Amino acid sequence: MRRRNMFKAALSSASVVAAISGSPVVAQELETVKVTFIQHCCSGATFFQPMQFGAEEAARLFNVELTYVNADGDAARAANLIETAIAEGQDAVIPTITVPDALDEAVQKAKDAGLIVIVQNIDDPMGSAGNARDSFVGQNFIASGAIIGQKMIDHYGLKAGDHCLLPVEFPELTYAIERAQGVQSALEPAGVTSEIIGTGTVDAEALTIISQALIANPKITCAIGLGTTPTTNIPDAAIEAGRDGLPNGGFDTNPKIMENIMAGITVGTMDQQPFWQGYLPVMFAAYEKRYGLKAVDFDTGNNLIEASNGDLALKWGGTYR
Amino acid sequence: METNADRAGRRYRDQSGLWARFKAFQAVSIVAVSIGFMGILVLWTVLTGGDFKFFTAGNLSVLSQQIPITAIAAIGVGILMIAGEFDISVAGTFTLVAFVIAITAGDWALPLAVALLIGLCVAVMIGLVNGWITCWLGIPSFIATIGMMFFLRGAVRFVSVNPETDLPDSLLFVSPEGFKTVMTGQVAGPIYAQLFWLALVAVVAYLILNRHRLGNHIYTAGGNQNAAVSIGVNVRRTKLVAFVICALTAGFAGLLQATRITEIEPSYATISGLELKAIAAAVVGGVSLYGGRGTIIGIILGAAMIDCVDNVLVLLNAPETIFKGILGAVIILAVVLNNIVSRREVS
Repeated sequence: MRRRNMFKAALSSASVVAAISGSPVVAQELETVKVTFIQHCCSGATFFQPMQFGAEEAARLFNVELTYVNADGDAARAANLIETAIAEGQDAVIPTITVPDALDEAVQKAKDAGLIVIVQNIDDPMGSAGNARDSFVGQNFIASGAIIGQKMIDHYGLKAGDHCLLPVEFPELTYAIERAQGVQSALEPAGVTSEIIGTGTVDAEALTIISQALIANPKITCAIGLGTTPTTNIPDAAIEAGRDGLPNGGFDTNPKIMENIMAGITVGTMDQQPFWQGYLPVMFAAYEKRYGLKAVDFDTGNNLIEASNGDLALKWGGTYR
Repeated sequence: METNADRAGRRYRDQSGLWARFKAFQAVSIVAVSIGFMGILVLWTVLTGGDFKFFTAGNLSVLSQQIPITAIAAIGVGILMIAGEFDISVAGTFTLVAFVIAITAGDWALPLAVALLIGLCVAVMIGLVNGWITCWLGIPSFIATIGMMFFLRGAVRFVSVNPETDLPDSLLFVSPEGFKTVMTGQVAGPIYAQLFWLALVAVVAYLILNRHRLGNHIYTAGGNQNAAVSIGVNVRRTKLVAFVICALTAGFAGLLQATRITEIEPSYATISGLELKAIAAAVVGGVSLYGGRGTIIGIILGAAMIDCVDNVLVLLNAPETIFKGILGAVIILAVVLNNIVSRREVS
């Protein structure tokens, strides 16, 4: 299974390189492919900037007419946007499945109408068995959770009796549940316990919630942010709570997370590489529509960024990283 | 038997010359704007040789499923605004009622009819509490319902906890196929059942506002509370009923949404923005922010306008960054027009 994924990854990477550097056909000569990209969250969130940047770069390179829209965290709106894409006669739609079954009907309608459906960022927990989508481009949340959990143990020497706070924007969403499972799969064998709290996506609110949790529970000896917002705010919350130097790590990248990593304040972050989550689905859609090359599942993110390898992530934050 | 208060309310609503002309203008104004808007869309469709897909069956299907949700919630909010009050907690009511119905019908395995009754009772309770705090304790409704909004967000998270993970979780609402067909099924082409439910709610709301003494009292209580009291209108009871109507329509809209999507998200109570969207729809449709004025047809057209603008921006592939800006501009324009007309009324 692992070997097959590696093969798919290598194949897809090769097609990217070939498309960018080796293709004799310039984008303007290609048949236009119409794609609707549905970003599940909200406008302006820094995490999604590289994703949009990637989708737009792929659209330019592969002559894709891209409609990039937000669902504002509302599954009903996402379903409406999928059905609007069908009505528009789009060739492909690229949604996110934030809750397992809410888009099943809309995705099935899209497939029935002949659209290519590539899910990005968050998949149905049952994968292709749970939804009619063609493929998924995103992070393996459980595997990446296990990696950052193990890193915390190795780096900080966490042991039995330690207790980790796991703050996350929306505890009920699939990404949060699966990342928590992955982190706990590493912590629990070492005797490290954990608890999850919700923070929302607003930095100021997350800062307050995390610092209050640290003040209220002195038993907490470490923190792992399961999403961008909490990972960004854990170090400042620790200072506010008088717990400066609290062992911490997390998920995703943005300029502030990278600064904390480079300064040694945060041990590391699991980068799901949102650029690829924007770029690859658009490219896959174009290639499947034109050449019949089937879109494939692509794990974008078991990339642990630490101070030793963070230079490029810091340099290209907000665009490619 | 018609009382003095009824006669006064009816005169205030229907027979005052300036008022009647003005109210008529309100309805005509939103209808004219809607026709103009549709005209532009038709023209654009013709000019683009059919590339603009607004009037395709598929796109109208989307709208016929979405607009009723917004419009039904907005009708309740609009009636409450006509009565001179606000409800900022409708997104919480919308989500909590859906959760309660899904839990009682699913986890508790109660008959669906009983689950629906419990859900609607929860909505009534929310409306009663909002009304009691506002009308009996004298707390401004804006403040009282903000408190209720936060309470309901917490209640939604509480009832949505998954026992296996001890965390809030989305919940499946698997209703019998017959029920789903009646509530949200496709009737013909782009016509979905939600449109009929909207029509039913609209007719009932119209009859209450225009053919029942309660409507007289709602307009009078919202238009001039002191005058209403002086002519014998029980303002507190009238507003209490308006709060209950508002919560009921929000809960019913939540039921329609849950039936269609089959999965309810706890985060909807927090991030959907339904409360402001419903208020915006009412204002765009001509409901006065100061109470005492508004029409059901105007509210429905206001809701349709907001959802259509959003839809058109997607179809035109407008940069995502200007979506909210345009929607906001439409709302501000409506409020400004409302204010101008209100000043004329006063003068």
